[in-house]
Amino acid sequence: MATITAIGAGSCTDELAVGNAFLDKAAGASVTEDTVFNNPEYTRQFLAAIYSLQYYGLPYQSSSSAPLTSSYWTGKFDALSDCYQLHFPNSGIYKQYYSGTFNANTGGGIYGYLTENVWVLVRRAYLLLENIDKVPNMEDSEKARLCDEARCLIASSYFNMFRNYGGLPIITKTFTGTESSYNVPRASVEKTVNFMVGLLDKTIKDGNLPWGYTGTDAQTNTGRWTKAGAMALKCKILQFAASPLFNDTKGYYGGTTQAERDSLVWYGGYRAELWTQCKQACADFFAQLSANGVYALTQPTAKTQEAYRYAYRFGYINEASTEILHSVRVSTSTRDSKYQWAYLNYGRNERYSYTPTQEYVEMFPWSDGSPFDWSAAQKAGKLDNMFIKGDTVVGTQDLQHRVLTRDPRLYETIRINGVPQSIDWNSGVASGNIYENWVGGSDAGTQPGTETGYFATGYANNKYYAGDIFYTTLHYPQWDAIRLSDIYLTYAEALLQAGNDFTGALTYVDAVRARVGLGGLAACNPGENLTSNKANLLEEILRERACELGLEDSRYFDLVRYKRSDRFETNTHGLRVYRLKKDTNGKWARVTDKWWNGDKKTDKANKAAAGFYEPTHFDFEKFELTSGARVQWNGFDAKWYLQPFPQSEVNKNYGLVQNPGW
Amino acid sequence: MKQNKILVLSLLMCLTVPAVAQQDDKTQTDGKYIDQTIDVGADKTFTRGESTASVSVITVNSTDKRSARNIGNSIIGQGSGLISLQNAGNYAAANPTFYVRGLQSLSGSTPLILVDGIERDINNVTPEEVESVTILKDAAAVALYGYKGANGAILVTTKRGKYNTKSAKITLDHVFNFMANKPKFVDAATYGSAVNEARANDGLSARYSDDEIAAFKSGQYPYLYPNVNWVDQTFRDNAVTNKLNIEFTGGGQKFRYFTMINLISDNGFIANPGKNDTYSTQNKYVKANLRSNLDIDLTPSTKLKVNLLGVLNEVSRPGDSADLWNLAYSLPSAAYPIKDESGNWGGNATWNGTTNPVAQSIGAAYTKNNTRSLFSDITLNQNLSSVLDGLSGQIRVSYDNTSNIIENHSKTYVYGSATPGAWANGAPTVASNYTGGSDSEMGTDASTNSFSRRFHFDGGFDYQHAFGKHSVYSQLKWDYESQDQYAVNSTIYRQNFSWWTHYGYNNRYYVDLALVESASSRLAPGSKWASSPTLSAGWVISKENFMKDVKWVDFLKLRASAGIINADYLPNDSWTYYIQQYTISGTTYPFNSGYGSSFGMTTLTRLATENYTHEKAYKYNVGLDATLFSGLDVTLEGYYQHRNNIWVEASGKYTDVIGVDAPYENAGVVNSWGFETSLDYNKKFGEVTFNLGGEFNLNRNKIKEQLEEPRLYDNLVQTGRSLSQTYGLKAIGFFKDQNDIDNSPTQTFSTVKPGDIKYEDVNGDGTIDANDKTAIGYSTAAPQLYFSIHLGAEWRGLGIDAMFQGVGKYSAILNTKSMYWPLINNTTISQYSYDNRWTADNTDAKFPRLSSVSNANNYQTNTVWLADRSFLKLRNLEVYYNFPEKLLKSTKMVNAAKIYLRGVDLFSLDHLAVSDPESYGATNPLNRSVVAGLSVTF
Repeated sequence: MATITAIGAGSCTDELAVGNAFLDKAAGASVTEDTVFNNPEYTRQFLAAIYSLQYYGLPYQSSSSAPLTSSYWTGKFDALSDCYQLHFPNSGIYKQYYSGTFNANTGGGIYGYLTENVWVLVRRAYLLLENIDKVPNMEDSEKARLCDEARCLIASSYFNMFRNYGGLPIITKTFTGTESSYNVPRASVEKTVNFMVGLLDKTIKDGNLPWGYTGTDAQTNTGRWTKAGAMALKCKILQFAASPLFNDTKGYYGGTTQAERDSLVWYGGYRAELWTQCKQACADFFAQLSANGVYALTQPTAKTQEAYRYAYRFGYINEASTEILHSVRVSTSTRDSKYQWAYLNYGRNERYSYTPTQEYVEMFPWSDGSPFDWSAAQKAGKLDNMFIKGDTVVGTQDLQHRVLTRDPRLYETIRINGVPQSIDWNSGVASGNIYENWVGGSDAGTQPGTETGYFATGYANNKYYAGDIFYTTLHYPQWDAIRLSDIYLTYAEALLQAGNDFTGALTYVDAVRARVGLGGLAACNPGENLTSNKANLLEEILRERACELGLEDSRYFDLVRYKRSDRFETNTHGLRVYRLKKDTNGKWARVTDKWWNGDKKTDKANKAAAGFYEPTHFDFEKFELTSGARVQWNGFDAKWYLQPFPQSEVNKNYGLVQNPGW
Repeated sequence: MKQNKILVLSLLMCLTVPAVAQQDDKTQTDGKYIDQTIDVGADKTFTRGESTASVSVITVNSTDKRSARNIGNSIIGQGSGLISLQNAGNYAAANPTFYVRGLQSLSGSTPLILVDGIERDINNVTPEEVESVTILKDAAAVALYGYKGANGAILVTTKRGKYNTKSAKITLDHVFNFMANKPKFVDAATYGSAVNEARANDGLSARYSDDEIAAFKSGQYPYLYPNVNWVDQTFRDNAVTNKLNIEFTGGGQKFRYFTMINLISDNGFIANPGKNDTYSTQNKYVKANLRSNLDIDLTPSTKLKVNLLGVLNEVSRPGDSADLWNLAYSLPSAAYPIKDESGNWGGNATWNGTTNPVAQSIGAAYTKNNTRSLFSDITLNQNLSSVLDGLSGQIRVSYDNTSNIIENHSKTYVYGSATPGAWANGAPTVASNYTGGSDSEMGTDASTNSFSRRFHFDGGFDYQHAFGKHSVYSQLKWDYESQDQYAVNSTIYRQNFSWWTHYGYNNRYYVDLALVESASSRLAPGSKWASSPTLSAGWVISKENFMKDVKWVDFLKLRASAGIINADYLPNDSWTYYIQQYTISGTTYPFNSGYGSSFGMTTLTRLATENYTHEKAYKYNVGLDATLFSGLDVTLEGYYQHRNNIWVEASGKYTDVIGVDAPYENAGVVNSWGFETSLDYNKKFGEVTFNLGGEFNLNRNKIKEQLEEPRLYDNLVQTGRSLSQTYGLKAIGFFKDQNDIDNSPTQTFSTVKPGDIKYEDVNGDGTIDANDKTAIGYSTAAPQLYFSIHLGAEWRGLGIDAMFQGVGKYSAILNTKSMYWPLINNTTISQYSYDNRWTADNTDAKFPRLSSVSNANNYQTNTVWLADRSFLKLRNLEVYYNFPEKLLKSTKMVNAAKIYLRGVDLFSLDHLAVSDPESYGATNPLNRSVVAGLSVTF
């Protein structure tokens, strides 16, 4: 028989095994938990993979798998605020949120409970925490650092989920699949906050994380969680927790829903000490900052508009910025990936049509810091100069002595009519063709007229583009999860809320303003009594946050935490700019001509022709947005403050109580 | 079972030395019902009188009534307990779907298919080489096949020689094939107005002007406004298959042989295959089978059995194996001319020239597929009476190999057409000339498409003894198998130890016990082995004394069986389900400022399954076999099966909060039950022999547990329903007008207009969405009722034979493009769809309004598209004449001769107006065939 079997099997080169041996699976490339945690390199890579699961605040790909926020089919939080309107009709924001059809059965959403890799991240972080002791050939100090990084990753993911849902199931270990039951009920807001803060407090106290990475370390470790990042995150968590959404005398939905009765979506009452805790966290942060340095607001090198613009831009976008406390990177990013944020046709694509609103533009003060007021400017005949001012010099085509008349951040955040497009990466100098935002202009085309596309409001987004510079130069798109100026403004808010410290608050706000050349807040707003009127100062802090932190997930959550249904109900506006040109009778008349690519005359002989000089005179028409009209404009249902849990998860009965109103 | 046990067994077998015995193999030919042989894999066959298993037999008399390409297609409709569902496709690929007793499990219900006791593909086994097909239904019938038998089995047994005879038989079949339900699409003018109507319905402007539609109608400008019937231009109405079979059967004193050569050639339906000088683009199929089954008595006690089948099969199809029917179901008659004015193939910007079915069938050359198969097995049987009376030993080795090689001779071609411009002076102008594609040389690629091989070994001892009223047959066996696919790390190894015992008392009472210990490499360590015990019993009541006087009962037997059959199915084909896999990839998280860190990343797959086991089938069967009134054979069967530990994905039970894909679990439970009746009456009235019979199967099942996610509405719950139950919306008519829409619950799929389907708010929440889906109709996979009726009569050699077969409780979703879902994505529209569309003047229509763009509201699975798929078909009809022996004797050469005329699938009674209930997709129509045949035996 042995002979026969040998012949029968002779056609295979594999050895013929008898008994149990032949039942073994063929050797393959299988890697298990033991492989990973028996190797320090694999363990480090395991942590790197956890980092790649972090939330990245810009859409950059076309994907229907988690994380959905990375996909432009979903849309960004800012497009739900009063500062931006998204004009991509196939995005979730437009289709489900603007129309108000989103519900617990729709699936997905702007930050889906199951579609953002949060729970995957949490599990893997605990796997690391639970197994790191096994890893051979790794210093204890490194193990401790990796663990604290993992704790920060858990806390930050929880916070991303928390600000969208309120109290969450608290996971403290990995599930193995053998548990007899999966009872993981929602914890109260208080417990959830304490859980996140507890993780951060441990890492802050342990001191295993460096305060920040400097020098060559910064070249190889930027993006890792640091002690500064952990302390800043704690400030942000406590700021959210202390805000009126969760910390008020009444639940935001009336107080009768089960989620409110169980304190899952608020503290159950007003607790003044929450603001004190927030203030203390900020104070601790700034104490450490002054002790350890490393981080600082990027300061202008001169008191010029160019220098201010450059300081702001460098601060938020540059890899070497000292202002970024925690950044997130897209791990697969390469410059040539066509779906990368900004690479989709230079951001000139409907899918990225985050168009700033007129309301947002008006939040930016004049360049000296005094508030912008449309009717006052109109009365004074200053509308033509509300963005830019300059002289037409005979024989010279372009505007001369060009001055940007507003907050420098306006031009960094928004593509504004008449402003030169081409930005120098190493300075604040802008040059070249101007943005032609007028109806029919080279850039806006018909978009403001038809209210479509990336110029639908008459403005286009410039944050994280900086002209086309993100595309044209190889600067990697890190997204700022926490920025120092945010913590300045958070501290200002906490000082005001916790102890009515007007002076302290103004100091921190003014520091942020000074960096871009704006005067002190109180001095610039003499009518508002900002040294004594708390409501007015708070409003100014929120406005300042909007101007400073565009497309950094700030404004939407500010409106949510202050329950600003009034702002959610505002039907926002766009601005139609019409180019004026002298007609044959010498009268100014509206035209829809382009200038460059249009009637711009390049031969000097033609300098008498109307098209020779850069257009400087315009008509301005504010218009109510109608494209993507939001149901919330006609009345805001408080349920929209938080997202619904997927009904299919609620049905599983493991303790998820649906958020109020859903 | 441990290694040392296997060694002992192997050693014992190696010691076996030839001894004596010559048994006659029983065959099914002309057997009476009671004498039908039953083979349950125990190296010995039993008569129906002795067997305790639930087995039905398709005898050689009826395996070849359809002149089919292979045995699978030739037994459609036959075999009690076998559900065979015909499928459409090219001649080379059309094979039926089989179920033994319907759907049974969430893991699938495909039965085991065996040829001469070894798992094999039957697609290349011709009906002519088959002696019988038996359907192994209950646990007692499949017990010895270990992990593979849970869904029942189909055993094909090939023919063998006879001692001291010789004969040669030549059979010639000439088959004329016709298309049943050839699709009819509208002409160009109707298409144009349908598109305009659809666009108007969608609020879009007309695509064709009145002038243009008139031009389509008149045919005055065939290059600008063509009107092509693509189906008629691409396909002819009939095709031909030829079958030639030559077989030699016989043997000497110590030697028997069955040798056969079978040739099939089929020419398909391509209308113009001969337009190229050096090759044909016809859909062609040629196959040769060469079989030799030899039985050699080496010594009086040593027998050698050798079975060899070699198959060479060549298929040639038009360029790139293009799915021509799919193209014909897409392209409107108005799309473009077959060829443009300059002689290039038609094609334009909307409808690419590669969608031109005529061009693809003529101008794209051809692709060839070669399949080469070898089935071989050798069995050595040694009588060991010298050691112990009644003992014998047997070993068998088998090696099968199949490979498929593709040769791509295809080429591409230039296509184009004139684009019409504005009309001037009552005539069209040419706006531009479109061209695309390029002429290429014929391809030269050849590659291996698939490959598989199987090695099987089994060996064991059996012992047979009778003393007094007792008789015992007992067998101890080990079998081993490896199965290799065209893939890496996918080889399956299995082995079984079995002890099977058949005990009989007084030829009346029988008990069988099977104890099988199986192992499989697919399963996780610790669960590779499983024990499957089966107990079955039979009681031949007709032999009892009290039945002596009941003359009308010739044979009556009661049977019952119960057994546990294990299965080694993998959860979702994942071999590593019991260990969570960590995948290390090269991509990195860029901590490095240049995004160039050398870091890799580690990611995790699904959570490992803990406490794993494998799927189990608890099978129970009771049966009754009888022969009454000297000619009425009756079988009644009732069965109940409980499947548990079925692999299911557990995400419905767990939450994603666990942070990883939920593990697979052995949690699924499905119960199935049903009954079978089989009746066969044979009687001779004078010179007329008469035969009438039928079969009836009812198969039901219910999902008891599948870890379904909790549902918000009861109508969505699938647990408690049948396997593959159809779910969809309930249509309650069409919207009459805007007022009707305004006064109805909102339908959220898309904005509805008059003429769109109106749905019932099943869950009562005031909106119509995916939550209103509910169970509608039955399964689309398998019918619950399956039945057949056969009848025949013969008078002086002239005979007629017919079989009808039908199904019931079976559903179809008519979602075929163009045929039922027209115009969307620039497809065409069938005449049937056009005639039954909703219009403002025809609000009582079958189908909703036309739309030119995707209409998410109407094209949901819903009751408008749900069809009753039950049918009754005339499967085969044969008129034959057997020449009288007297006449043949005078030739001194010819021993038997038969001429016959067969009809195959000649008609179908069903509920579908323009499609066949077994094939309603955008694919080849099913054939109707008429066969003229002749067989001569020398």
